[in-house]
Amino acid sequence: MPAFLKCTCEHCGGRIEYPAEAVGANVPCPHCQRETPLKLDAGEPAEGVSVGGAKWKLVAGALVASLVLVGALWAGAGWLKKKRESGTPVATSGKPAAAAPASSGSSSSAVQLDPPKAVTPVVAKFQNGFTAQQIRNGRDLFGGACTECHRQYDPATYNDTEWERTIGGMRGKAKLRGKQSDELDTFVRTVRN
Amino acid sequence: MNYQGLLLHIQQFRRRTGWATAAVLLFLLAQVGFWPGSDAMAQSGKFAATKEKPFSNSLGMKFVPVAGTPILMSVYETRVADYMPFADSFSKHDWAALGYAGKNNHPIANVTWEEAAAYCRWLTEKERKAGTLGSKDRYRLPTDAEWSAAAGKSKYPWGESWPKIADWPKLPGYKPSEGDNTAPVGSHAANPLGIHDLGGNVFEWVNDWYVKTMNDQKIRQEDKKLNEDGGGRKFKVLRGASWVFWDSTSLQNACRHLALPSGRGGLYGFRCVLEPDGDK
Repeated sequence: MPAFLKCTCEHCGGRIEYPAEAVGANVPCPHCQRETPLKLDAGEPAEGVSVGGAKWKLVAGALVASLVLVGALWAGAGWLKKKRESGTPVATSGKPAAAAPASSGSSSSAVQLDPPKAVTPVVAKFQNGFTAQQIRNGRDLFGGACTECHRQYDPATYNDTEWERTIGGMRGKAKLRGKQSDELDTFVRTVRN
Repeated sequence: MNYQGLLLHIQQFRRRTGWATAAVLLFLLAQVGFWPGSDAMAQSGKFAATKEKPFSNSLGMKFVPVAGTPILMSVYETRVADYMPFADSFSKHDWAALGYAGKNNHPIANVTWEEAAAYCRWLTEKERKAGTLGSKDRYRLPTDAEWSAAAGKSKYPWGESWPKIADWPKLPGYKPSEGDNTAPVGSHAANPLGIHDLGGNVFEWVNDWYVKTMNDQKIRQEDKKLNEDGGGRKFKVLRGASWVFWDSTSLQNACRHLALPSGRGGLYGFRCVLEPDGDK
C-alpha cells in the first residue's frame, strides 16, 4: 500500500497530499493551479497515510460492530433459550414426588439409554391362558373384596410365598370362601406368569 | 409449516433482505431452538405431526407431539400387530394358537422392560433402513418426565375427582369387555394431546430406574413395596395403571409402579416415543 505525505502550497498555503515517492517534484497546486514543489513542511512531521485508509477504518469498524452485535444477539438468544427451557412443563400433579427425577434427565436434555441387552422375546398366551370366567372371577375378587380395605397390589411384585401368605391372611378378613380363595390364588399366579 | 415450506420462506426472505439479514435471522432462530430437528420444529416440522395429523410410521403407529418435550409419543400403547413382526424376526410364532386371533388391536402384554427397549431399537433400525427415519432419529421408551408431560397435570387421566361407584364401569381398566383382560387400544377417549389409554389397559414401561421419592409418601404408605428401590438402579418404572389396577391410587397420574427390567406380567406393556435427532 503506497504511503502518502502532506505539505502546503508555497503560493496559497493550501494543503496538498502526495505520494511519498513524488517528494521534491514540482506540481500544479490543486487549489491555486500554480506550480509548487512537493516538500516536507518544516515543523510538521511527515504523516503516513494509506490509500483507502478511511475505507479500511470503515471495514474494521463494521467488523467490530458486527462482532459486538453478534455477541449481543448470542447473549440475548441464549437468555431466551434458557427462559424457554426453564418453562418446560414436566410435572404431573404439582406434588414434589411427581417431578422428574434426576436419574434420567429432563424432557429437553439428551436422554441416556442403558446399554443394549440382547434379548429373545417371549410371547405368552393371550390373557395368560385365562378363560373368560377365570378373568371375571379373578377381577371381581381382586378389584372387589381386596380393594374394600386397600389398594390393589401388583401380583408380579410379590413372590409365590408372599402371595400365599397374604391370601391366607386375608381370607378371613375379606370373607373369602375356599373356592374364591383358590380362584384368587390362581388369578394372581397366572397374571404373574 | 413443514421443512420445505420453511426453506421456501427462508429463500424469499433472503431475496428481499439480502444474505446478511437472513443469516442474522437464521442465527437467532437456531439459537432459540426453532430449527429443523430442534425441540420446537420436532413438534410440527421434521415429522410434520400435529394432534390432528399424527406422524404415521411403516407399521401404522401414530405419533403426536408432546408440548414441552422434543419427542412425539405414540397415541396408542404398542399393539399386538405392532409387536408381531418384531417377535417373528427371531422365530415365527403361531399367533392364533397363542390366542391372539382377532386381538391385533389389543396392547401387547407380558413384555419385559428389556424386550420393550429391544423393540424400540429394532423399530429404529427398521425405519432407518426404510428411509422413514434419519440416521439420528430414534424410537425409545419415554422417560418418566415425558410420560408425565403427556399425562398432564390433572390428578387422574380424566380430571381431578374420583367417580362414584355407579360410574366405576366407565373407568379405564374396569372390565373393558367381557373375558378380555385388555381392551382394544383407543377404546377410551383421548386426552387433550390426542393420546389414549394413559390410564388403564396395560402398565407402560418407561426408561427410568425407580427411585422411591418418585412416589410421594402417601402413595408409598399404601404399598410398602414402593419404598424398596434397591438403591435406585434395580427396578424400572411403570406408569399408567392397568386392567387389574383401577383403584383410586393406582390410577393417579403421579403414581409410579416398579418391576425388575426382566419382570414379566400380564399387566406390563409399553408405549414408544419418537425422538428426532436423539442419537447424538
